[in-house]
Amino acid sequence: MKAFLRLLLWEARHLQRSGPAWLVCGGLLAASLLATWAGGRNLARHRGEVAALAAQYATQMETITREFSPQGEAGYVAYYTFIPTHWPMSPLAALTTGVRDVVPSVIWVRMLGLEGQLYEADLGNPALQALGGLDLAFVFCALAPLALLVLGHDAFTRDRDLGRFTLVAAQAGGLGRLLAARIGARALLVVGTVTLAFAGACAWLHVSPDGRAARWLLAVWAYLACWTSLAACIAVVARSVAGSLALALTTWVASVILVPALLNLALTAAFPVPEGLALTVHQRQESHAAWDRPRAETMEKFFVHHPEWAGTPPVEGRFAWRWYYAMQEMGDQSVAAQSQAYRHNLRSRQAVMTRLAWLAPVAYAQLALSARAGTDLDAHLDYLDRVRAFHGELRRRFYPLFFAEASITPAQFDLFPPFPAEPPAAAAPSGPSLWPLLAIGALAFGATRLLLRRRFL
Amino acid sequence: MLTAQKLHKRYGENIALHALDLAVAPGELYALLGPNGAGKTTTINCFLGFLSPDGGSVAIDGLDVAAHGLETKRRLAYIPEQVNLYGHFSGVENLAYFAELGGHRYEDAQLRAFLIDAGLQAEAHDRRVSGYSKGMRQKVGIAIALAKQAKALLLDEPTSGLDPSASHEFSQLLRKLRERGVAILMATHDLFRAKEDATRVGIMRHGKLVRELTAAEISHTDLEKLYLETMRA
Repeated sequence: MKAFLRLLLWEARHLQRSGPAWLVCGGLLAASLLATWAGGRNLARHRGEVAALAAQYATQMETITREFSPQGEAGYVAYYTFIPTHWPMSPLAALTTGVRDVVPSVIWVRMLGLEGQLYEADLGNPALQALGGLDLAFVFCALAPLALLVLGHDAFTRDRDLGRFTLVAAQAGGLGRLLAARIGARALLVVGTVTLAFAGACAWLHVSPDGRAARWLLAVWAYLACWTSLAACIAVVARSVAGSLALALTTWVASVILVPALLNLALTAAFPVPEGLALTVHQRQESHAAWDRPRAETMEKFFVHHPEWAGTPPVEGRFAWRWYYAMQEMGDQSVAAQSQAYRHNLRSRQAVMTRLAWLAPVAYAQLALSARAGTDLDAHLDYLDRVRAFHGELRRRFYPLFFAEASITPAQFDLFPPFPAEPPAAAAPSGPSLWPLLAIGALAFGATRLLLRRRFL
Repeated sequence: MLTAQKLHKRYGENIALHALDLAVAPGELYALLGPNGAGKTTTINCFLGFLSPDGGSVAIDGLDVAAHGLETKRRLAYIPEQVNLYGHFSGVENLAYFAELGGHRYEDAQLRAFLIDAGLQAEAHDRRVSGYSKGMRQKVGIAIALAKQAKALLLDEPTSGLDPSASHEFSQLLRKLRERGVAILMATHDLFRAKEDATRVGIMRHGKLVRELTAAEISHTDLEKLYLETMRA
């Protein structure tokens, strides 16, 4: 073991004298710095947005208080009152954008039909959004493997091209030990750079060094361990620097760009998901159609879901708030199956993607990191579920007032509950297991060992 | 120490070695002569374990190379025709690194002593190898072989490119190694050096060992005549 460590130190000295190693690590650190800055900016913007919610809500309630003093119909007040909900962004989420850049983090909800409100989001710059944001997870998942391949592909081929491989091979006891030292030194350099960048990002963004952050970093290490084995395999299989570089770049482009894109296309085709807009339109059409239907018909449907109100007097006159809100809820009910399918198919896509990790380790690692940072699809759908539950609570509080055709005073505005922003601690997901990444690494390691047994002249 | 029995190797249709029998005892220097493509380097590569024989066997110190690759490598040192080193390291650093590869660790003074033994001037020890001449690199290669303290030494055209003085120093060094009981197999085109340094000389042609003689029994002129006759036959 001591002899191997000494050899590892020698390989580190080789790297220290090599210009490309400094360049690659410097580039990786610069990209990490930029990603951390971008993540910090997103975090600050999100926090600013969330911090402003209370003031915006207070301003809104002042207006509503003015309009409905000394009192107003509960239905009217509920119609005009928007309540802010938000998906809190942890500092760790600043390192892993996940799906946060394509879904809303703040939703103002009111008593109307919910489905349409869930998918409303402002797109700042769709063209820029299509490119995707730069975050530390991207740097670690896409650029760190590239750094590893660039540094490691010529572990043997450089010696072959410069005519010293026979001397090296004759001198070295086993080529496996030499390869392990060479690739190991390069992997340690990249992992060290990545860990340094992570530590710097944590200090900058005040990420607490808790178990979640440790599991995030562990996922990065497992992913890079997988790429270390692949780099070793490439170093052995190629016979020249040009060959190993071409193989390394081809592997990187295929693994990081092509395969995930093709997989995404295949999964999109296999699990079609209705657009959020389609759900919104369907729900609105259903609600609006109810204006032209007999009121009793709408109320009968409503009573199926709310038998507790079944014995109440029929709706009379041109308008009643209980009928209006029943129309809204029935609009939601009309797309309930589609909404369920929407969530089910999104989760199915993710589940299949998780199972196909061996085809696209980069996609799997992104899933693992975003799950650990709470920015993955599951976390987003959980937020929507919490908004749904919150909206249900609003209905439970206000339906008695609508059926009583009551009015409320500003003193009763605390009937609008605040949104419970923080999910229960038990809901914090652990994310996909790291075993598939380690298994890919083990497969590549096995292949490398087999290749090393070939004659090499 | 070094033995090849009925060694057979082919590259596609070309037969590189045909039933080669060879034995080099401890303290003996066996010079393999022959034109390009005669099979000299292939023989050395089989001893190094770089090539697997298609038939027969090679053994070092009684250990079959195919079955005991690691153990046989430990008993072997090798100097190729072109000693290419790491240009960003000095001579001492290259020697220390290659010694480490071979599982040896030496103090700085010992490393310098090996370099001096190999004929490399002390003022060159700490200079980067990228500025070395071919002869100087060859001397570092010799120092690497010395530092391995192997029982057998394989040399593939070791004096190619060395000036006469360096070549003579190299001969002295080989003599010292022989006296220490090292078995040496040297592939060379240099008939003079073969006659001077070797205890036995083998002439190869088309993968076969066609002549084998004791160096002491023959003069320089006769060796050259015999070599040319063998090539013409």
